[in-house]
Amino acid sequence: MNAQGWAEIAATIAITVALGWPLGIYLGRVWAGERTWLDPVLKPVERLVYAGCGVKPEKGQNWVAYAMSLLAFSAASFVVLYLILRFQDLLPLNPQGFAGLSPHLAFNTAVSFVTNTNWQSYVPETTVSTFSQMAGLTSHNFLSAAAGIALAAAVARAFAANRSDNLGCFWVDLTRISLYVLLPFSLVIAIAYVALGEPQSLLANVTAHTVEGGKQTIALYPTASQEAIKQLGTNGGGIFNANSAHPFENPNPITNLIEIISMNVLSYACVVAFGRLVLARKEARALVAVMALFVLGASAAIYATETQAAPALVAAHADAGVNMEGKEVRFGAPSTAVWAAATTGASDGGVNGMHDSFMPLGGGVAMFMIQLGEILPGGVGSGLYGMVVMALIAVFVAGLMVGRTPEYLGKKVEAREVKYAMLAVLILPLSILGFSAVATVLPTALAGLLNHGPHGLSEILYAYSSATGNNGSAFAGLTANTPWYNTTLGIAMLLGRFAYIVPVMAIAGSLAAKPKLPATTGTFPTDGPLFVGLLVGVILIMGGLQFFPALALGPIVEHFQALQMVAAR
Amino acid sequence: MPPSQFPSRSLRRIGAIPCSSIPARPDRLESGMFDLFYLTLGIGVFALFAAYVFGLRGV
Repeated sequence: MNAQGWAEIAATIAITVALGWPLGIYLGRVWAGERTWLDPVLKPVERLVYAGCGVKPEKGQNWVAYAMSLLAFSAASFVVLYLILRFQDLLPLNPQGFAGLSPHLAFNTAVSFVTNTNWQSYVPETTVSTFSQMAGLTSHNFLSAAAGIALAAAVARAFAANRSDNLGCFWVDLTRISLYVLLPFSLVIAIAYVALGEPQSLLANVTAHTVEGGKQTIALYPTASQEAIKQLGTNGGGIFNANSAHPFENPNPITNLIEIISMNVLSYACVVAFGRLVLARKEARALVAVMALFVLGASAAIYATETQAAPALVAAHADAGVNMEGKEVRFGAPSTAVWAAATTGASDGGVNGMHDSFMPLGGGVAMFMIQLGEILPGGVGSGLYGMVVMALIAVFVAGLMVGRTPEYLGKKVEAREVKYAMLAVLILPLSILGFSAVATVLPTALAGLLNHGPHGLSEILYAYSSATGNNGSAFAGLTANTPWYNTTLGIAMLLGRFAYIVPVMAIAGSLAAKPKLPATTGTFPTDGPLFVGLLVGVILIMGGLQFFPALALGPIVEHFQALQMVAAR
Repeated sequence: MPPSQFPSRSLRRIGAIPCSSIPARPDRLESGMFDLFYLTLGIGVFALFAAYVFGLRGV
């Protein structure tokens, strides 16, 4: 650890939050349907989309219609993507001559990209054709991200509404967010990536001749364009197996910084846009503070653990100042730490280092960030509505303590909303711990492990946490391309996305129908340090109660085993 | 595959190629059944979520 490392971490987070503010103001205008500087170019395209799809933009939807539109869109996307992946050998733009994916892998991959998870049970550069990558996967990077941001807009409208059932129109939100936010910003970032050295090519692999006379096959893809939306949409699925540790995906420290910023900035922007729409800017600031505090805390914890000497090397009397296993030398420990915190807190899943190679507690912190619900700052859109659920639980707890009916942003929080909130948050332990428990006793599942003991448990736990949290990063060490893992991880991704969204939309519908109440002297303030502290405590306690026993058997036991190894040298 | 693992003594005697060394050719019927299974599974889960929406509406 050194001052430069700490400064790098602090500056990265500060720049991300600072950029989230203007982007949030712009996003708020897009949500509200206000005029933007892109209107002259994009308004005709937007009208054309509505005309072509038969959408009436002025017609709003209640929460049931909004949720059903999302489900119908996602189900249709799943079927189309499944068919593209299965039959990529019959489709154009397959210069590599790849065969279609197996049925269980196509299921897992289709679910993964429709749910904004981007878990990859396959090696992309030897499995997926250029057409599948562009028309199948990259397009869903845009659409699944837009769907998440659309839901956040609907939740914001619920708080802004006064006795209404209108949450906006899903199809309009999906179109406007894709056209006015994701496409233009991705285009700019992709051009920057090309300028910084990332390839953008439709050619098949090229063969290089090495100095030893051998041949090396180098895969090429339209990498820069995929990389831009991969991070901006908190997708995280790499075009190469090594993800952003690969020099084509992340060639230098500048692309590394842009990638970290772009994987969190839109999630912060969603909160700022929420504050703008609900006229609760101070309350939005409090939510941003909670998110940034967690990212800072997790980055610091990972940086501290990763700059300790690796116990196995210490035991072998080897020089081991920093744990560099699985880290890129060009990025170093601080950048890897802040990336790991940002990607696991944001449901992104892209990696620039291998989490499996972290020290046990470093890997444990990354896993815990996922298990806290992907709200710190969370996926695009999903981070906001997940944080709002936690805020409702926090004001409910505060209400119990002072004996008043809790309120949040002018809406009374009653039994119905708290029940819905609990239905949403309980899906995480149900899926993560349920599937992990079965996998730890099933021979078919255990056959996929490369490590046993506590590290093996961590690998299984991380996989189901990542899938349920729609994160998509892998702890490695787990052979996941099997019918068991592809099927169960696919179901976990669906549960983590849609079994969470349905009660959130029910909360939105319930709150929208309530009157907007003015704040009184008895209203619990939700914009100050007291609320920030309460919210941090609620998130930590809920996460701790749900997952600490499992973490104690995985990374924590492994940490003590490592200490024992050092003590016994 | 070592010769002792050939499927049968008679096949070993004639030097037949073990099954595992023949490149796998997808059985279209079997593959189609799996496609049907996974598409039904995916759509079925979405149908359950739709039922969940209507279930919560009634609460």
